[in-house]
Amino acid sequence: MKESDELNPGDREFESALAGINLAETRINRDELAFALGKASVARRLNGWRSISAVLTAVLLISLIGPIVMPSAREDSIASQDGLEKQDIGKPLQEFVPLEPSPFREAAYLSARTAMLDDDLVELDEFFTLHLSSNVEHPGNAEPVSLRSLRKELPN
Amino acid sequence: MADIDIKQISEWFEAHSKAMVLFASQFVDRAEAEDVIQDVFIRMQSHANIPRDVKAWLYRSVKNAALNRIRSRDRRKVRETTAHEESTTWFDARPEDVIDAEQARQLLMNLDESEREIVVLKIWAGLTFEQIAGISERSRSSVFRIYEKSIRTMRQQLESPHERI
Repeated sequence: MKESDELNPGDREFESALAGINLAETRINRDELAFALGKASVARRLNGWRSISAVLTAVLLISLIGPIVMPSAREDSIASQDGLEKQDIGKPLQEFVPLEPSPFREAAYLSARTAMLDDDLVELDEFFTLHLSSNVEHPGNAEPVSLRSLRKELPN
Repeated sequence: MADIDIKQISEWFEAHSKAMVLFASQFVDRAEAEDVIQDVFIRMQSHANIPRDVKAWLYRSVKNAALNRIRSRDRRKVRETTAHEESTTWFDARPEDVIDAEQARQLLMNLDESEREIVVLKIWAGLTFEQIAGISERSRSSVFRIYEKSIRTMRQQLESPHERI
């Protein structure tokens, strides 16, 4: 060996004598090591599968729990947009706009319908003037809407 | 991640295990040294790629693993279990040997730890001074100087046993 050439001949001879000494056998043999390697390899693969199955389980749980949790989040969002309370979501609209049955209202409706069918403009005008003028207003105009003005605005 | 082939590792084990155990025995006791070697080969298996310099990698790993074990123990206990105190044999005695196995062990034990490390890596592991320099974190010239001095010291002790250099 080139590097050993740097030693003097006496030291080189001593070095060779030392190198000739047999090293003691180890307690572990090749078969034991192969077994340990196989065991470690299987353990590593098992750990890999365990990790994958843990991730898949987490994804599955999220996909199952998500639809239950998410609607409440959506309700919050809708409620906040509409200025409603969360508990109001899903309640029938009637609770907010009560429309109690009224004989007067029915009679007014029927007379308006008849006027429309008969094209009795005078009666229809009266209907609007009497019953709806306080609720229906022309945009930008405080005056009650008359049938004629409505007819002018409506497309043919 | 692909493991390194078990057959390939077994071949490296066959070729280097004895010297690796001797090297590890310079830091920890023999039984622990064998555990260290097994751990190193098991760890090697999980590597995706074969190290560029397998031999140097093995010995560097042995040293790191042995030092980690030492660090994880109590200092007092370490002193009790260093190579100096242990009585297990490092070499197999054979009648044809020029130097007796027990004598060689005594000569090695008279060196300090860094000297022993370099001598073991050079003579029994068969590493180059370049590779030893990498493992012992010294320059190549420094490694050679320590090696040369150690060989001379051991030789003189063998030739004049009562003379302490």
